[in-house]
Order: sequence, then structure tokens, then C-alpha cells
Amino acid sequence: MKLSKDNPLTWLASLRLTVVLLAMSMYLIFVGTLAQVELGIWQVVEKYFRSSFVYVPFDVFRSLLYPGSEETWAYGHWFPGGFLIIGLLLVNLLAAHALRYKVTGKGNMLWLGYGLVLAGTSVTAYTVLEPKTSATIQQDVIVMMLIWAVPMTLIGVGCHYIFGSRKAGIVLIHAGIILMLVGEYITGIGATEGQMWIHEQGASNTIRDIREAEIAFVRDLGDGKEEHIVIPQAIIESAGENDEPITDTTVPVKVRVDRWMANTEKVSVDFEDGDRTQLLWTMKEKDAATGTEMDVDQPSVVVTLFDGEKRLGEYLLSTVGTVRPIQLELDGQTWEVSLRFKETHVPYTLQLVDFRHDKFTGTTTPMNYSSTLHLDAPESGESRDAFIKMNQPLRYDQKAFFQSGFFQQSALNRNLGTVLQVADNPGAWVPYLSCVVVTVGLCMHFVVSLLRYERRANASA
Amino acid sequence: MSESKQDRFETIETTGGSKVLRALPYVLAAVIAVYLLMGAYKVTQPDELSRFHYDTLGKVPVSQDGRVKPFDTVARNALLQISQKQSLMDEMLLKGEGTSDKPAVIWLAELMAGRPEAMQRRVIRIDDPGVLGLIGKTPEDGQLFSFGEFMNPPSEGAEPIYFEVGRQAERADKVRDDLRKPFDEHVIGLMRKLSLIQRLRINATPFVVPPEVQGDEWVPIVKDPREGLNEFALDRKAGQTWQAMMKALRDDNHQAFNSALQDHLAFKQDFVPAKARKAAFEQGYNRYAPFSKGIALYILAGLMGLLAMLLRPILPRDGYTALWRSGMAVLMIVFVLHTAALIVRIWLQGRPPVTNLYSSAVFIGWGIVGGAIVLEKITKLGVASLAASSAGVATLLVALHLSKDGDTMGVMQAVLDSNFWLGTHVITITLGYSATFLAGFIAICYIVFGMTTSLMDRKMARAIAGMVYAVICFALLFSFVGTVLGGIWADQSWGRFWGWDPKENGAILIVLMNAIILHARWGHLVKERGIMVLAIGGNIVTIWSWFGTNMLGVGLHAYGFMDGAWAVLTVIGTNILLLMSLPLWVPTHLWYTNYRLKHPPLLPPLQQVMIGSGLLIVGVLTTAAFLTMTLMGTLNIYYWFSAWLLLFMMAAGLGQLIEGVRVCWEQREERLKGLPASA
Amino acid sequence: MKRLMFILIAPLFVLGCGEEPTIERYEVSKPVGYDWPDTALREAEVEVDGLSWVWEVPPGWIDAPEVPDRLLADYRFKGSTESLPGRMTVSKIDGDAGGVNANVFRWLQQIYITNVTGPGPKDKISEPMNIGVGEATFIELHGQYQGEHMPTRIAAAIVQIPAEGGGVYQTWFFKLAGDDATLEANRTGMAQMVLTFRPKGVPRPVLPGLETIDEGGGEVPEQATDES
Repeated sequence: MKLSKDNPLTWLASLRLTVVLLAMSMYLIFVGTLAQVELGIWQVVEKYFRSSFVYVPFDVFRSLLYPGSEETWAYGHWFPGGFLIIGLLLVNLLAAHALRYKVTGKGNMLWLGYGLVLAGTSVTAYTVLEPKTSATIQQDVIVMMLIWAVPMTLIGVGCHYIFGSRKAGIVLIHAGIILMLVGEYITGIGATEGQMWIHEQGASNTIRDIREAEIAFVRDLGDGKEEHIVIPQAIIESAGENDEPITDTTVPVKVRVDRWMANTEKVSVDFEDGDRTQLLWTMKEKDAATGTEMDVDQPSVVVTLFDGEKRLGEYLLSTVGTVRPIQLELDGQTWEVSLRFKETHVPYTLQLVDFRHDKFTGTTTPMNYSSTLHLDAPESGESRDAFIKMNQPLRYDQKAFFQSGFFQQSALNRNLGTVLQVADNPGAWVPYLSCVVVTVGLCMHFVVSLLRYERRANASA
Repeated sequence: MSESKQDRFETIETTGGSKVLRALPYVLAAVIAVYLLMGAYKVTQPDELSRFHYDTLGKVPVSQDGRVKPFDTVARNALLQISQKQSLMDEMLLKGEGTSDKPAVIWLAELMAGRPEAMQRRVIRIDDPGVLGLIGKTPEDGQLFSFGEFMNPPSEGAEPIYFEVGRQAERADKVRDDLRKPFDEHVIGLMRKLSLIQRLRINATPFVVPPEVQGDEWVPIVKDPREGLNEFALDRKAGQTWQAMMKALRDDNHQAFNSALQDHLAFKQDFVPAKARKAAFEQGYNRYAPFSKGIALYILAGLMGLLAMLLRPILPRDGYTALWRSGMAVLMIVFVLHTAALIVRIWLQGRPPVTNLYSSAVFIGWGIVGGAIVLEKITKLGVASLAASSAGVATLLVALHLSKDGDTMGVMQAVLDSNFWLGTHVITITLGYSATFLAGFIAICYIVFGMTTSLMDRKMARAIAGMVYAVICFALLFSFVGTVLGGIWADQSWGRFWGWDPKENGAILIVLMNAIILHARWGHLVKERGIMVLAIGGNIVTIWSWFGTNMLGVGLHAYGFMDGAWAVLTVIGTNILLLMSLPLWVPTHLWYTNYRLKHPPLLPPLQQVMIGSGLLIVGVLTTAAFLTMTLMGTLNIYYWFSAWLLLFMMAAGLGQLIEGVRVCWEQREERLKGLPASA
Repeated sequence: MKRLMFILIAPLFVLGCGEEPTIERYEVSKPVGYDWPDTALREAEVEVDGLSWVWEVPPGWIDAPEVPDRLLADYRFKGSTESLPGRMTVSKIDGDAGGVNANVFRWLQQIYITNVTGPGPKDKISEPMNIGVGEATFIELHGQYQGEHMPTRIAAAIVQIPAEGGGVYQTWFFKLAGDDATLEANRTGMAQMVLTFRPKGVPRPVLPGLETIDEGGGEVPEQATDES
């Protein structure tokens, strides 16, 4: 395909556009980093990187240019968001390949090239789709990377016959980068993350999403079953803003949201009790956690509950772990009402047999954390022990359970339980595959350049 | 100008020429090697000038902050944290005690033994006028104060200042990070220093008693000040001999001290032999101070590289060759020293070379120098070795500064504790930093010399551009692979390949920057000058991701940083931005290099020499004055905003000076040629 | 296949994004909790400074997975809630350890009573009673209870073993921490442990009403927990 200079496709495939887009992505990432001084990391990711357009307030530069200044700056500008820039880069890259990367192979060699690419792709696809090998991907992806190197080399050689030695490596590098972007896209929309908290000698089947809260009404149904009725955060917040009580019939009571606090901390208040002082507590609102603090928002809410028209009382609910649910007696049923992080439940339980937390002698620096767990899956009848430590997760049910931390009761300095990070990412393997593709591409390109350089050097000598 | 002179740098001679000149690099290398080896031998020998065997005390392994280290390291780090100086040489030498590298040990031993003079030593550094006011002092009283001044009541019945500092620090500690005033930060810092001294004084740290059973831990002489001496520790031989040592030192009984010290050390050598060996070695490493020696040698190598580059047009071929090879010899020897020091650190720590900011500075420097040596071997221009030396000096200075934060071989947080990933991801990404910096440093040489001197002929310019291109290719490779490995580590550790946190974003910015440079070149969007400007820009991006992102969390909010690291980064960033934009404002035909291609020199040669040396002298003197005043702490950091100007001034001065000399020389030759043979 | 389907379907999710959150109702199984072992009454032994000491560990109490350095023994037992087992620890300090009052103040702070002026109206401190090996003081402290997942009560005994030439040789601490219900259920066990505390070889004191290792049954004598 030969296009004139004025053809819009030429412009779309140009390196000039590539450079402009790369520069724009640099700017976007930079302001996205600065924005984390004021915003939480998830808000930044949604606003800057997983969006088509973003309004960048000039205020993000304040912390860079005038650290410590308290006044917020006005104005800002619109800018393409992460999705748009990445989309344009993909278009640019594909257009460039369509226009500039010509098939140079001829005859049988060309067909051999096509065959090799097809074979390599099929083998790779097979490893991803076949249940046995895809289990390997989940368990030990590093081994899988070594295996993938074989079909990738086939594809590389195939590209060599199709596009010629100079372009083959670059084709692979670009293909790998495209794959990586696609993988991030899948992660962006398909991955869930949560935490599982297990008390020492306790068990859990609950994964919490610490980015979102919900009001839960929980009732014991007997026979080891519980009924949960949950009001998501969005509904609580809008009920608070609109000053309209939540009257959904699913909820056993009418809920009036008096005050929603997005991030709170527990503060103690002295309470004089006779001749001594007791420490009581209340929840105080504070600024939202920012990305650079690596902290979690701990929302609290003040609600008034009504049974029909009868006012049951005003309650302070909070996600802060040490605040207990309130007990509610309604028509002979006992409900526990709490504000908690959004929960999902898995059909198996993990029981914490032992949690170890070693520190370096004479310091508070953690040396390692580890949890010995017992996994019980009634559905499959599986019952076994599992051991998790830093950099050594448990992989089960398409999920990975990582040792993330622990929660502790400081007064008696005793480990109370383990915190596991639970990741469920259907695209988790994609970056690994793309890493192999790019590596093979880089090696090919490097070797070819070296050979070319040597040939030139020999020719000139 | 004859073509042969232009080509000279490509034909470094290995044969012919004066024998003396040919031998020069070898002699120089031998002299430096002998000096370094003698230093190494010296630190293996005990150096006891005092009645008390402090040097031996320095070898004793103790445990602090989770790591077993020699007493010497504990003392040096503590004194450095408290006084921001590695030794209190002056004061100690006045008293005729010990040699230059031991005062830290003496100070700590006296402090732990409870000798009265330890309370009188002026070691606590206070810079903030507000804090000085709090303790009833003014800047005229100096910056260093003794612990006694805090603990002894200023007047009869009055309360020691220590308590007031404690109250202020407690109040400041409750203030939210982003609302703290400089005073708050400083008073917290002061309290941290005081409580460190206090913990050392009561023997609560370091832990001196080794475990006797597998699985046990080191214990201190005092676990909890409220409980008094730790009975458990005193039951042990290590504890008893330690107490005997302290008592002897308190009683000024050097025989008893030395013999208790012998017992103590012998016990530990017997009991924890591996730790004792490592500790003794580490003390030797501390005394040797390889990086201080490295800085001096890098400066020497840099000067020789600079001279080789500048004198190329006027020196005879064998002279230039000798100069260039001598510079390379020095550079290679200091590189060997740098490598050896890295290996020693790896062995002492049992970890890959990069574990914290300090070691990343050391390793980045090493990477830059290693890469530059290869380039210099190929190009033989002196440019790469000049870049290497400046980078070596700069990174080691940064490292020395960072070592004031505490133990440079400290333990790793659990989540980072993975030698595999430290050895792969961290090393690769750090090499990416190195390569990006190297490209930037070479590009700065190109811009500065190209704009101000006539040295940069077409051939040299092309050679430099080739170097920068090659280095950026490697930078892209390393930073990309390093970033991806980092993603894999994150995915393996907490199930998230990419989290958009500041450090990750910093890494991807370097990748994008290098990708932009390469794509712009491939698309012929920029020429040589553009590539150089972009390569210098790579330095800003790298500094941002190396330091800037670390400071985002705490730094951008905190006032304290404005007088410290943040200001330094602002100054460096601004200078680099100016170095990037100046070549864009000044049209290429006005660059002195290009101007001279078509025009004769602006001035007659003698005036060139005079003005050149004038500029050079003023530049050098100003820089030296700035440096001294900065080291003394009396210069506002913002004066360094003019660093680019000084750089241009010195380069221009050098260029004019050398051109003037050359023209004079040529005229003289012409005149000699023109004279009749009979004369 | 699931993976491929996902890749194909994934783009559709973008269109489906922004769905309205709704109030939901669902049922789940409760996680099966820890199965406390049914241990019998047993005798425990520790060696301190060359001397062996023994006491009896009540049924249902298990050894903690790991005993911290500063403790001689650490037991766990079923608490009133799943998340908070009860805990009993044994430690000792040479000498008189500052006396009973100093330790009471220390423990009050552990259960969030600040500004301590002394034991509160509900707290109980018994007169020292001779348990053979030395003088034992029984203590019960009530802390703040504001819906926290934290132990709010401490039941403890401080045993002072006299030195030969007068004074105190060692002070032993037996401390039980938990919430009210846990403490009520295990007070007997704790008392038994303290009352059977003795050097090894010394015959078991005759304690009417206390369980013995061989045969079961019985109540704690009133004076064991009663304050006077």
C-alpha cells in the first residue's frame, strides 16, 4: 500500500503521532502521580488512567511548586485520559504496521513463515485454554514463561520469514506491548481485589473490598446459615445527600442517614466515672486517605432506624474494626446491624491455625509474616492445610491469597489475626505472556542489529 | 587546520613515541594501586595509640536494629545521626587521643561507660533558630551542643531542658504531618537524637550479649530502663565481661579494660565466629572508607579526561596518547576499587547490591562508570571518561549524604525481603537509571562544549551522538525489562501487576522518555541537537523517579523538606531545564563550534588567552567558594541556581584559553618556518 | 474455555459499566470455627533458675502456639466469642517487682483506664493469703467496655515467694485476660492453677472441692476468689 503524504492514514501511522502520544502519556502519568498527594490511589486510577477524558486541576502542581501552601489553586484543563491515549496509540501502532511493515517474504519461505506463526500461536492458545496447563499458569507462571518461550521463538522465526530480519523483532516487541495493554484492560474491568481477615483460631469465608462500604443487617437462620441484607455505599450516600430515608421493603427497618463520613478515625474522650477517668471513644471525620499515604478510608455513618413510624434510636456505625455491630430486636428476630466493607462470600472456609510475625531483634521492622491455614471446601470435600507467607501465596478457586499483614491488639501486644490479600484477576497471566513475547522480540532485534553492525564493520574494513 | 589533527583521536598510538610517555600510565596506575593496597593493609593492623584499646573495641560484634555489626559501625552511625559528621576529629586531636578514624568509638565507649566527659562532648547538632531559642541559645553559640547541656539543670532547682524538649516534641508529634511547622520537625528531630543518646547511655542499645541457644536472640544489658539491669544478660559471660569493661573505663583503669575487652572479644570469636569475622572485616571496611578515596580518584580521572579532550588539538600525538591512557588507567583503578567495595558490601550484607537509597546511589554510579569505560575504550575522546568521573563523584557524594540517615546496610522490610527479585528487578531497573544518566551526562558535555568552545568538530559531534544513541537503546532495554520484572514481582507478592503507585509511575516515565527519544530519532523528527536535549531531559525524569517519588509521600506536604532535599532537587531540576532550553534558544550557527567553522576567532590569540584564563579562574574560584560555603552550611542553596552559568563560564574560558594557546603556537611555528635556515 | 470467553466478552462489560447498585438479600453458610480440643486436667512444669515448678492446667486450656520470651507459660481457651479466645499467662520477676499496687496500676492501663488513682469500685484486691510456697494476692480489674473486641477484664494472682533472709525472692504473675463472660467461665480454673503452684516434689496441697487430675468434680473454695 503506497499512500500519499496528505492521506489521513499516513498521518495516523506516523512516528510523529507516536511521539506526541507518548509525550502525552508521560504528562498524564506525571499529573496522575502528583494527584495522589491529595486523592486516593483508586480515585486517581479511575479519574486519570481508566477514563477517556480527564479534567486536570492546576492544583495538582501546587504540592510540587509550593509544598506546604494551603490554598487550593483554581482552574485546570481537559486532557485525554488513559483509555483514549492508549486507544490512539494502538490505532497508531496498527496503522503503522499496516502501512510500513510490508510482507517481504516470497514463495515457500513465506508460507513456512505463516505456518510457523500459526503453529506458535496455536500452541500458546492451547496452553492458555487447556485446563491442565492453565492450572500450571495459575500455580507457577514462571515455569510457564519458560515453556512459552518455545512457541514464541517459532513465531519469531516465522516473522523473520514474513517481514524480513530487520522488522521481525520490532513486530514481536510491538505485539507484546499490545498484549500487555490488552491485559491491563482486562484487569481494569475484570479483576477484583479484596481482603480476608481471620482471627487466630477463627475461620472465614468472607472477602472484603476495602474500597467500598455497605450497611449490613445480619440474622442467624440456625443450621449454620446466616441471612444478610446489604445496602450499598452509593445508596447510603445518596440517601444522606437527598435527606430521604431508605424505605426498601427488603430492609427490615426504615433507615434515615443522618451523617455520612467518608473517612474517620477513632478518637478517645475522657469520661469521668466517679474518682477515675475512663477512656471512651467516638468517631471523628478526617481527610480522605491519599495515594501516597497507602492508607484506607474508614467510613462511618450516623443513622436513625425506624420500625414503621416508631423511632428505634440513633446509631453510630463504622467500618473501624473495633466497633461492634448493634443488636436489634424486631418481631422476635435478632438482627446485627453494622457498617462494614463490602463483603462477598466464598463457598469454602479458611481457618487460621497459626500466625507468625517475626521482627528483627530489637526493632519493630517485620522480618516475615506467615499464616498456617486449614482449607475446608464442603462442596468438593477438600480439606487440607495451607501455608502462606510473603511472596508465597495460596492459589485456589482462580484466586490468589497473599499474606498482606495482620491485625493486632496493641495493649496486650498479642497477634490477633492475619490479613490476606485476595486477588481474582482473569487476566493475570497476560503480562507474563507479553513479557515473553517482548523478550523474544528484543533478543531477535538485538542479535540482528549486532550481526548487521558486524557485517558493515567487516565491509568497511 | 590539517586533517591529520582532526583524526588524531581515532588513532591512539600504542607503539612509537617517547618511552617515558608510554610508561607514564603504567607508573601512575602502579603508584595509585600501591597507595590503595597499603591503605588496605593498614586497616588490617591494629592501630592503638591510646592506653585503651579502642581499635579492638571497634571490632566487637554487637546487634543493633536487627543486624549484627561491629561496635565501630554502631558508633559511626550514631555519631553521624547526632552530629551529621563522621568524626569529631578536631576536639579529639586536641586532647591527643587516638587517630583520625576512631573518635566515634571513643565517644560511644565513654558514653556507655558513663564517663563524665561523654556528657561534655559537643556532638548534638542544632540548626533551627527556633529550637536554639527553645534551649536558650542563639546562633552565636554555635551549632553543636553537649548532652550535659540538656540533662543538667541550667540553674539550681531548675528543670533540665531535656524535659521541655520532650514536651515540645510530644506536642509536635501529635500535629498532623502536613500541618507541621519547621520548628515542629526540628524539635522532633532533636528529641530523636537525645533519646538515641539516652538509650546508648543506659546500654539499652546496642545489644551486646549473643544468643547461647539456637533460635534465641541477642539481648541488651538493659532491656527496660524501669527494670534496671537485665539479669539474664548479666548471667552470661558476654554480659559480665562487657560490664567489667565499662567499669574499668569508668575507673580509668586501662589494664583492666584491655583485659576484659580481650576476654569479651575472645568469647565472641569463639561463640559467634562467623559474625565476629564479618564484624572485624566491616570495621576494616569502615576505616578504609573506599568511597571517600573513590571520590578523590574520580576527580583526578575526570580532570585527566577533561585535559585529554581539551588538549587534543595542541598536544603532540604521543603526549595526547599518554595523557588519555593515564586518565583511563586512573578511571579503571578507581572502578576496580568501586567494584571491590560493592562486592564487600554484598558479602557483608548477604544481599544483592541494591537494598536501599544509599546503595542505589553507589550502584548507579558504578553502572555509569562501567558503561562509560566501555564507551571511552571505543571512542577514545575523553568525553565518556569525563562524564563517568563526574557521575562517579556526584553519585558517591549523594551516597555520603544519604548515609547520614543511619545504617547503610540495614535490614529489609519483610515485603522486600527477596534476594531473587532484589537481584533481578532492582538491578535491572537501576542499570536503566544508570544508562539514562550516562546518556544525559554525555549530552551535557556535547551541549556545553559545543556551545562554548571550538573543540566539537563534526567527527567528534557524530561520535558523541552515536554514543548517546547506543546508551539510550540500552537504557530503554534495561528500564523496560526492569519495569516489567517489577510488575511480575508485585503480581507474585500481592496479586497486582500494575498499581499506578508513584514509584511504578516513575519507572514507566523513564521507559516512555527513552522510547520517545528513539522513536523521534527513527522518525527523523529530531537531529543531533534535539536528541541531546531530550537525553538531558532523561536526567530530570530519572531524578524524579529516583528521589522525587520517594518524597511525594512525606516530602511534598512537609515544610521540613524545603530546606533540605526538596530544595536541592528543585535546584538540580532547574539547572537541567536550563541546560535543555539554552541550546534551543541559541541558533546552532551561533554555537561557537559552528561559528568557528566559518569565521576566524573573535579575538586575537593573546587576548583569547587572557580572557579565557580570566573566565576560567573566576569560574573555578566561584565554584570553589560556593562548595566550601555549602559544606560549611553558610550558603543559601538557591545560589546554586547559577550552576549552569558557572559551567558555561568555565567551559568557555577553557575553550578560549586553549584556542588562544594553539593559535599562538601555530603562529610561532609559522614564524620559525619563515625564518631563513641560516638563522 | 472460561478464559477465552472472558476475553471475548470483556469489551462488552465496558458498555455494561455504571449499573445501578441495589439493595440485596442473600444467605450464606457461617464459617466453621475453631474446634477447641477437649484436653483433660494436666500438670505443667517449668524450670526457672535450676528449680522446677509445677501447677495444674484446667481442662480445655491449650498451650499457645508460641510462648513469648518474657513469659514462662501462655495458655488459650475458648472465649465467649469466636474472635476472642481467653488467655492466661505466667511470668516472674526477681525481687518484689515494685509490689502489688504498682502492678495493679500497670494492668489498669492495659485495659484503658488512664489517670489511675487506684482501683475502682468494681475492682477487687484480696488480702495476701498463704498458698504454701508464698503469699498470693488475687486481683480482679474491670476495664472499659464500649463494644470493643478487646479484653476488658483481668483476673490475676501475684505470688510473692519469700527469700531466705527475709524480703521477696521472686514475684510470680498469673494473669487471665478476656471479656466478662470468658472470665466468669474460667475463674475457677485460674484459681486452681494458682493454688496448685508449688516447687516440684512438694506434695499437692489438700484443697477440698478442687478437681484432681485423676478424678473429677468439685467447686473452688470461696476464699480463692473472694476479696476481703
